[in-house]
Amino acid sequence: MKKFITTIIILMVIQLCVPFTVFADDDIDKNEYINSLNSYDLSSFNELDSDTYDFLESAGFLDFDYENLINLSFDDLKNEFISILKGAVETPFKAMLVILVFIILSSFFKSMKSSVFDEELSSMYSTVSALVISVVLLMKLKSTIALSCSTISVCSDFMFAFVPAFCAIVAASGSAVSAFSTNSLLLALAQILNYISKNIFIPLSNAFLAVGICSGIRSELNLGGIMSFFKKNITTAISVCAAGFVSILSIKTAVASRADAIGLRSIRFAINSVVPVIGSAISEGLLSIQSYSSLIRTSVGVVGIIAVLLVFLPAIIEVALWRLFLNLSVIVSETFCDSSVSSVIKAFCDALLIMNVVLILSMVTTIISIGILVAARGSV
Amino acid sequence: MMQIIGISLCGLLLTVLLRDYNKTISLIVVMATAVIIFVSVAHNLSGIFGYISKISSGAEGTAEYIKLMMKVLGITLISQFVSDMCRDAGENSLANQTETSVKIIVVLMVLPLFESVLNIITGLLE
Repeated sequence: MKKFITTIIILMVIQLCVPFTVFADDDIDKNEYINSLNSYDLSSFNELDSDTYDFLESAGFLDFDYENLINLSFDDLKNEFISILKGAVETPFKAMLVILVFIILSSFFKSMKSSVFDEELSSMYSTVSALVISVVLLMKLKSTIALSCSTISVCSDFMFAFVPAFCAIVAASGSAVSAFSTNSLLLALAQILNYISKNIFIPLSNAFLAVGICSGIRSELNLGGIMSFFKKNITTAISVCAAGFVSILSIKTAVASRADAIGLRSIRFAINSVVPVIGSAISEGLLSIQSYSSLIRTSVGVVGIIAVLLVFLPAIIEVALWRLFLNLSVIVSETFCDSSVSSVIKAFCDALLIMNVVLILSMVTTIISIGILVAARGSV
Repeated sequence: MMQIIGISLCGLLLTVLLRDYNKTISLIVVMATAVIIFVSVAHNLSGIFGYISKISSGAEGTAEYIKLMMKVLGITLISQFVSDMCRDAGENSLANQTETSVKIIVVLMVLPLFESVLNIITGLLE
């Protein structure tokens, strides 16, 4: 026994003294990979908008070659992000400058109020100023609102194109009853949320904007009550939807490792601070979202998520920049005590806040849907 | 500046002197003084408006709106000037009538703006 233990110790010491290097097998069978790819229904990628499709094609992602994905450098992503940022910053920045010119002009003219204008003519002039600023803002903002609506619409179509594939996968698995469990519920919920965002939340935010403009143009109408009612109920509805979705997601991933939660704490804090209205719901469900993202091990899933990010990022960044520059304009108009102009700009800010929240919610649900679909494909 | 102060003081002295003898002449003097002051300053307004137009030309698609705002400002300034003179002459109804007419003219001027706001809003809702 003593000899045996000594021999083992000597062997271990020798092993430590003579290190050797080993590598994982990097000879991946390409044919097997291509066969695996062919089993996916990739027709939904044709539903993407032209910009996203062009980027994916130029980066070689639409070949779904894992080498292209591995070769994707941080610089590529950074350059793409900067180009999106450059494209998004121009219009809001120019609009802010125009609004500032109008605010300064309006306040300059209103400064004559005490000496020249009587109360009625001054009120009429404020109405004209607010009307002009509304028209200028609406004209500049029209493209951003159209971009947000079309982004949600494109993503909704993109996900609907995935659904027949999901049904076929569930049918092929032979366990339709068990397969239509939490994953199916989550997928259905994500689809419903996308549908609600496209058909209810976005039109409601546009209606909110319309009421806000009317309220700003004619402050005597006292539309503040309707405005706060609209805003409160829309944000509550969005929060409930986000909380419901994240709750079901968390039930599914309740056994996820708690150790990861420590690493995610700073990200959770950042999301909670940066994302408005649904920030707390998303940060609470971040662990679940991360668990779902870990299911995406194929290039199809990764390219799908990159596609979703590329579709959503321009709209989210543009809306966020609009909010930033409009908030600066509100500060300037309040400095000049121009209440009618500041209330019009505040209405725009509130409508854009709702739009931003809806976009983020749609992006999160779409990414999770892709995770579910790709994971379901992997389970067959 | 000194020129305006001089015209103003002269007008005031004349008005005070003539008021006891002939109120009509006194009123005409007031009106003439006001017109002279306005005309002597009016040429500076074109400089201000020209400078604002020059600034606004940098912001594409907004020049027409700034022009509209300046037109509205000009109309309200002149109407205020006229209605004040009417009130000085004790003709309140005429002053009110002038203000109402100006409001109608301004509403007519901004009606296309209302139309474009409505079009954009209905476009958004669709």
